[in-house]
Amino acid sequence: MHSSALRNTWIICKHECFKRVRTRSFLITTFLMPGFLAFVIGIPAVVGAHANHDNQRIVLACAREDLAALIRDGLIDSATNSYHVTIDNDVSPAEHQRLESELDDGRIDGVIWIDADSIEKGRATYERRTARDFIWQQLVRNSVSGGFNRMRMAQSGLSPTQIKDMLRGADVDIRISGVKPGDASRDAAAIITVLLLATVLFITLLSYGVMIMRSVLDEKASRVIEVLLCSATPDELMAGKILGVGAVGLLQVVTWGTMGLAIAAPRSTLPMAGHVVPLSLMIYFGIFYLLGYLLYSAMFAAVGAAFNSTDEAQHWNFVIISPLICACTLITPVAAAPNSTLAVIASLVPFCSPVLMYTRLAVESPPAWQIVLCFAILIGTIYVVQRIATRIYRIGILMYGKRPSVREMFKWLSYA
Amino acid sequence: MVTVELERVRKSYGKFVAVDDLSFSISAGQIFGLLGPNGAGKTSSIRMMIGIITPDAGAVRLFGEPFARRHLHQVGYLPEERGLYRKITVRENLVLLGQLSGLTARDAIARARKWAERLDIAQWVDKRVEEMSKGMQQKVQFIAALLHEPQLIIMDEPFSGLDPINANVLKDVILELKEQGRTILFSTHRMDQVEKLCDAICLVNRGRAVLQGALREVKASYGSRFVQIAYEGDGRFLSRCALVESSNNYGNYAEVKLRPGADSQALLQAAMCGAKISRFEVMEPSLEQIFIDRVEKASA
Repeated sequence: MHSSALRNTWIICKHECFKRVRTRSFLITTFLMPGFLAFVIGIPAVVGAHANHDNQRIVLACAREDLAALIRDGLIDSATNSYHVTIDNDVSPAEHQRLESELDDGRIDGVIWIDADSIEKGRATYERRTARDFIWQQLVRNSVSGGFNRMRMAQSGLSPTQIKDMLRGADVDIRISGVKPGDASRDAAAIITVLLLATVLFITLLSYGVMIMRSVLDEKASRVIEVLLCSATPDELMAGKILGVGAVGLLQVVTWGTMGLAIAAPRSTLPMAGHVVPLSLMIYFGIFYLLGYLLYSAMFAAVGAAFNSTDEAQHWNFVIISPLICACTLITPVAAAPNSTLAVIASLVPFCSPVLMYTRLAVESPPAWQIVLCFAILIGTIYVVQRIATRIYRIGILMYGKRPSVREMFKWLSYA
Repeated sequence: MVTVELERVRKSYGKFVAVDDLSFSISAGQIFGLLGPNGAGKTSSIRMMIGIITPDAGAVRLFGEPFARRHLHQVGYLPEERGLYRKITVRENLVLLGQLSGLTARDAIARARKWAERLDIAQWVDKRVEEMSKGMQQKVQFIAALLHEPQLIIMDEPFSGLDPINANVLKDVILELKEQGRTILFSTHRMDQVEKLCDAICLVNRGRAVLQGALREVKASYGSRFVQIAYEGDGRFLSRCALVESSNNYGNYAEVKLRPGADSQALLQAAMCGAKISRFEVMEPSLEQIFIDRVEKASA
């Protein structure tokens, strides 16, 4: 590259970067957005966790007092929230009818019905007003089943100590090969963190790509582009813009990461958060962010140049972000089965690979050839897309008026 | 020395031919008017001069050499519409454009301050462009085009949005630049200003040059077939008189073009029959008259 071209690219890059970093919106999204997101995600989770279970009034109608007590103890031991379990020894049809009407009126939230016949057959009925609390349903199932087991063991002559000893079970310590054993909550935190990073990758690629498109549209509408083109080539302008906006994105992601580590570090007894997110994954994150950004930003820049307004560009905007949305919806299935055919193919598709190969790398180490192939396809695609986008950009930025058709845009490719 | 030379330049967009076999040259130190109706090919011609687009055929030469991007550091461009970032300050705009024209940030700031004082917008340097009036934005744009002291200055409608006082300030600057030996190209519809400022013109229509040369020669070539008449009374003599080829009648004032060989004194006599004549002046045609005449002829 010629030295004046490098100089112009650098000037545009600096301008694009500083112009954005100094804005109020950048400061707000960088420093307040993580807190806002935590608030938006965290508050409903906390409220939901409490609201779903608080003041749940459950009536346990059981023909045997000892069985009822065992089941109630099981329920209260299992549930971390406040439940009000009332034992009712009346299992007559009239009482059943009365409890059902109380349930219908909303005076109680659930009825566990165990009459003499149920005890004999080992079958209980749990009636609820709504079906929404599936976790509570599982607790009821486990507690009732456990209560029956304890009752039968006691009937066969075992002492409470023996019963307790027999039902002690065993803890399962899950370990991942190649990863130092940590406690379960830490491993879970690691998975959640990498999935969160994959989502951040998606959000940043999308938001900074759209930012580039809007910036190009703005320069075109204000005719600044004509003055700039008198001093710099379209290629220099596009490269400077992509690098400048990309640097802002990287700065924002690094700031978020640093804030995250600063918050996580005091709670960690291990050195920094290397345990939560291994260094190699952080490096992969940086690489995939850059490659994904280079791929998508060029396409967004071309769309911005080709059209006259955001409304006109809307259709193409959707075409570009579709693979990204697709990749985002596949994060969870790919994380669940990282070596499935779907995961392998999807992580090699260049428009999805920045998000999906990163997800695979985060949950398991894919074969080296797949990683190499992914990078080769991705870099090759970036090269081709950048060349096409630059040609569309060169012509599009000087085209005003009518919205160009796909055929016209293809023609532009042959102009340059 | 020739600063700009277009030689048989052609540019088309698909089937539409924007510039067709256009040739003209601008000598160093000249103020040159590139005139033409909308869609005549003026903007495309300018864009080819500054390398934004490349001609399909023909050659563009700047400063006596085939066009090269290095020449652009000697070119200042003022577009018709404001080419400034609206959300950043005047200073930031000027530093960016100055740096892209080869200046250091420090030089750009120093020169911007000097020009801002000269054009009476010093107090606006740290304001955002969007806070300024159209006229003030035009001054900023003007500074951006001159900041790097270019030898060739290309101005597309430089006086648009300016009140008469500020237009006069800019006119003085332009004349000063001319005295310094800079070459200035105007692309405009404002014939009165072209007439007062330009040394030479090129009138383009449908991508082709229909008239060009030194302004004096162009006007002289039209002869003295134009008459201005101020009158009171019946103006129907204008439509009845066989001596009149065309006229532009304003009710009590008319600009008349005589037929070739017609005697202006005969027109005066005809006019005096029905109206009281307070002024009758045989003169060179105005550039506006020439412009309308040539464009109409070319379009006919």
